[in-house]
Amino acid sequence: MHTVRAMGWRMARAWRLIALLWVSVTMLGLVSAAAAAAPAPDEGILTIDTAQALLEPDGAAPREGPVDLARRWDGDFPGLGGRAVYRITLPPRVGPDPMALLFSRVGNQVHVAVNGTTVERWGVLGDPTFDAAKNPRMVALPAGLLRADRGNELVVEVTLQRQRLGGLSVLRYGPHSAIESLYDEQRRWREIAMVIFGSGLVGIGALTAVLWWRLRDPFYGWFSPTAFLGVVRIVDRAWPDVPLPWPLSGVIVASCYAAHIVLICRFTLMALGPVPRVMSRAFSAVIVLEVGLLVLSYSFGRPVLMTIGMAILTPLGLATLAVIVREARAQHNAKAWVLATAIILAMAAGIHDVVVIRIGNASGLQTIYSQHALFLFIPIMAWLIADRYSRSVANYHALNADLARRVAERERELKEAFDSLREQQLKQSVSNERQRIMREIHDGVGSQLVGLLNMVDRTGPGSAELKEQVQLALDEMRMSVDSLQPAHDDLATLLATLRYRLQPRLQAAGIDVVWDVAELPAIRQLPPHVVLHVQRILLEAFTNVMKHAHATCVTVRVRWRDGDAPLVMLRISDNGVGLRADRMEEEAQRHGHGIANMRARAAAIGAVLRVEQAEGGGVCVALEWQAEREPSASPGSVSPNPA
Amino acid sequence: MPSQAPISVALVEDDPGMRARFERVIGAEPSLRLAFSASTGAQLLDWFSKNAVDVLLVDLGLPDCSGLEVIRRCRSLQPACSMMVLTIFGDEVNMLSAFESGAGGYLLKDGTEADLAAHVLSLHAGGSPMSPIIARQLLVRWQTRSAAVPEDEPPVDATTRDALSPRESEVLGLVARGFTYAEAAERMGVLLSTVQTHVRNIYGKLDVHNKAEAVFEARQLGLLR
Repeated sequence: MHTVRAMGWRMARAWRLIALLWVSVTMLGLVSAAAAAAPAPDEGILTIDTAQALLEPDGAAPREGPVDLARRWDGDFPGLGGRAVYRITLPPRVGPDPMALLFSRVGNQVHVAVNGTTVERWGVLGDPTFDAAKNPRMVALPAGLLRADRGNELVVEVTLQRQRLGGLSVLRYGPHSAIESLYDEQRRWREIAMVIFGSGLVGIGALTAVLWWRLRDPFYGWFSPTAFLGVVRIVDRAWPDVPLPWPLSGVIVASCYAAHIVLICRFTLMALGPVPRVMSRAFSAVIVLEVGLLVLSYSFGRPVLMTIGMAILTPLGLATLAVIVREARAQHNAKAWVLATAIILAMAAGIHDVVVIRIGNASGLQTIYSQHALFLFIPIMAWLIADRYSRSVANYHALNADLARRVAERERELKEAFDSLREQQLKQSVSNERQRIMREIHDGVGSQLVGLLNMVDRTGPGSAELKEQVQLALDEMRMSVDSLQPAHDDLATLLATLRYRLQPRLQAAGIDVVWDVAELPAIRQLPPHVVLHVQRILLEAFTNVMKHAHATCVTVRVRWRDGDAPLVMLRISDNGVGLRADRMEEEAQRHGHGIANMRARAAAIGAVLRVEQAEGGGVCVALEWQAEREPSASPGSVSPNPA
Repeated sequence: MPSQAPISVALVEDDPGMRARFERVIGAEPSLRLAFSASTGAQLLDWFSKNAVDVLLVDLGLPDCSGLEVIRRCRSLQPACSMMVLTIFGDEVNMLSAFESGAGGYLLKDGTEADLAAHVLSLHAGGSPMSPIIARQLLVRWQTRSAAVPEDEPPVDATTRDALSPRESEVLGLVARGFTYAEAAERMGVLLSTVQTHVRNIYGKLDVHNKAEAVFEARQLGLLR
C-alpha cells in the first residue's frame, strides 16, 4: 500500500517534471525561433537567394555562373578554401530613404562594394585571423550611393578558409529602417540566448567546481569541465578574431563541443548512479575518437570525417538513453525519466542539425537546435543540485531529530537507572540504619531493661540500685537518639553532646569535669557505626568513673596530632581509687566485662584502647585512632574562636 | 524570689500523664503558680486570648494543631510571655523551628521533677539551655548565611542586620565544643549572666516569624508602605 502510493507519487512527480521540461524546451524553442524565423519579408524587404558568382577554390578549377545562395560553399567544394566574387543587381532606388543589406551569413573575410564604391570591409581579404561568418552582418547603403534610374550593382568579394562555413548566404535588401529593426531584433535574441547560455554554463560550471573542491564528489567534478567545454563554443561564436590560427581554432572549438556532448551523456548516467564500466570506457573512447577525427578532418581538409564524428554521437546517445530508460523503469525514478526526456530532445536536435544543416549543406536561415537542447541540462543540473542539497538538509534534520530523540531516550534511561540505583541505595541505607537502630535499642536500652527486670525479680533491690539502672537505660536511649541527630557525625559535637547529657549526673555525683578539648579540625564525616562505638566507649568510661572510681574529678583531654597519618588522642582520667594490680581479679569480675566491651568496640573501628593507671592514682582510658581530614573546608568545622 | 509574686504558668500538653506530672511539679514549687492547663491547642488559645500569663509551656505534638502554630499565635497575642517547648529529646530540627516561631527555650520531659521546676525558673530568669548540637547547627546556619552575603554590601536587610556578633559566635563555638556556660564565661573573661544574655539574644535572632508578623501588622496599620 505504502509502496504503491509512493510509486504513484513519484510518477506524478516525474510527469510534473517532464511537463516542466517541455515548457522550458518550448521557451527555448521560442527564443531560437524568434532569432531565426524573422518576420515575413515585407515593408519592401527583398530576399535574395541567387547571385552571379566567380568561385575560385584553391587547387580546383574556377567556376563562374549563377549560384544558389542557400547552399554552402563547403557543399560544393568540401575541404577547400579559396576566394569568390558574388555579383547581384539590386533594384533601382525608389524613394529618398537610405537602404541596407542584411547578410544571414558572409565570410570569412569580406569586401562589399556598391556601384564600384566600397561600403564595408570585414577583415582583410586573404588574412584568416578574422572570421565574419560567425554572425549575421548588416551594411547600410546611403541613398546617394544608389541609383534610381537603373539597377545597382552589389559586389561581394570574399576569401574563404576551408571548413569555415564561408561564402555568401541568403541576404536581404530593403529600407534601412526596416532592415535595421530586423537586424536588431535578431541580434537581440541572439545576444539574449548567448548571455543566458554563457552565464548559465559558466555559473553552473563554477558552482559545480566549488562543490567538487569542497566535497570531492566526482559527479560535480565531471560536470564542471562539461559546462566549461560548452562555454568555448559560445565564446567562439561571439568572437570574430580569435587569436589562434585557423584551422587550429576550429579543431579546438569543435573538439570542445564534441567533448561537451559526450560528457553530457556521461553526466546523465552519473546522475542516476555509478556509470557502468562499459559506458565509461565508451565515453572516453568516443572523446578520443572525436578529437582524432576532428584533427584529421581539419588537417587534411576532409569535412566528411567531422560529419562521421558527429554521427558517432548518435549511437552513443542511444546507448546512454537505453541505460537511462532501463534505470527509469527499474527504479520508477523521476530523475531518470526527466533525464531520458532531455536526452531524447537533445538527440532529436542533434540529428536534425547533422542531417539538415551539415549533410544537407543548408546555409543561412536554418536554425541550429543542438545548443538549445544541450542547454536543457543546465537547469537539470541546477535542479539536481537543489534536490541533493534539500535532501541532505532534510537528512541532516532527520538525523538531528533522531539524535536528539536518542539522546533524550538515553538520558531517560540513564535517569531511570540512576533513580533506581538511588532508590536502591536509599533503601539500603534506610535498611542499614534500621538494623543499626534495632541493634542499638536491643543491645542498649534492651539490655538495661533486662537487667532492671532481673533486679526487680530479685528480692529486695535497693531503690538507689533501681534508679541507677533506670538512669543507665535512659542514658542508652538518649545516646541512641543523639546518634540519629544530623550534626552528630562530628567528633567535637559528639563529645560535647555526651558531656551535655552526663553533666547533670556527674554534678549530682559530686564529680567535677575538667574539659580539656582542643579545637579539632574538621574530621571526615564519622560513619554512624564509628560514632556509636566511640560514644559507647566514652559512656562506659564515664559510667565506670561514676560507679566505681569514687573520684571527685574527671579530666577529658582530647588532642589532635596532624601529619601524614592524623591521629585523634582521647583520654578520660579520674582521680579515684584506680585499678589495683592485686585486686585485678576482683576488678575484672566487677567491671572487666565493661572493659572487654570497650576493647571490642575499639577494635571494631581500628582504634587502640589502653586502660592504665592515671598520674593522680585513678584510671585513665586512652583511645587513639587515625582519622581522615575533611578534604575541604566545610560547615562541619567548629572554629569560630581561638582555643 | 519567694517574696515576689509567683510566676504564672500556663501549659498545653495532650498526654494526661505528662500533664498531671507538670501540674504536680508546678503546684509543688511555691514560686510558680499554675494558671491554666489545656489538652488541646484550641482550648489554650481560647483561654490565652483573654488571660495574661508569664510563662507558657507548649508540647509540640498536639492533636488539633501544631505546637509551633500555637507558639506563633500566642507570641503575637502576648509578646512579653516566655514561650517554652516541652520535648522529650531536645532534638535539633524541632527546636530550631520552635525558636524561629518565637520560643525562648525548651524543657526536657524526662528530667527529674526537681529539675523541671528549676528549669522553668531558670528559663524565666533568662537562662536558656542550648545543646552542643543546636549550637553547632546555629553556627553552620550563620556561617552559610553570611557567606551568601557579600561583605562590601551595606547591611540593610534583616539577615545581615541579624548577623551574629563575634562574641555571640564565640559563645556558640564554645558551647558546640562541650563547654558549659560557666566555663565559656571563664574562657571569654565575662560574667555567666553575659553568656546567658548572648544565648538569649541568639535565640531572639532566630525569631524570624515574629518579625515578619510585625512587618505585616505595621503594613496593616499603614505605618509602612
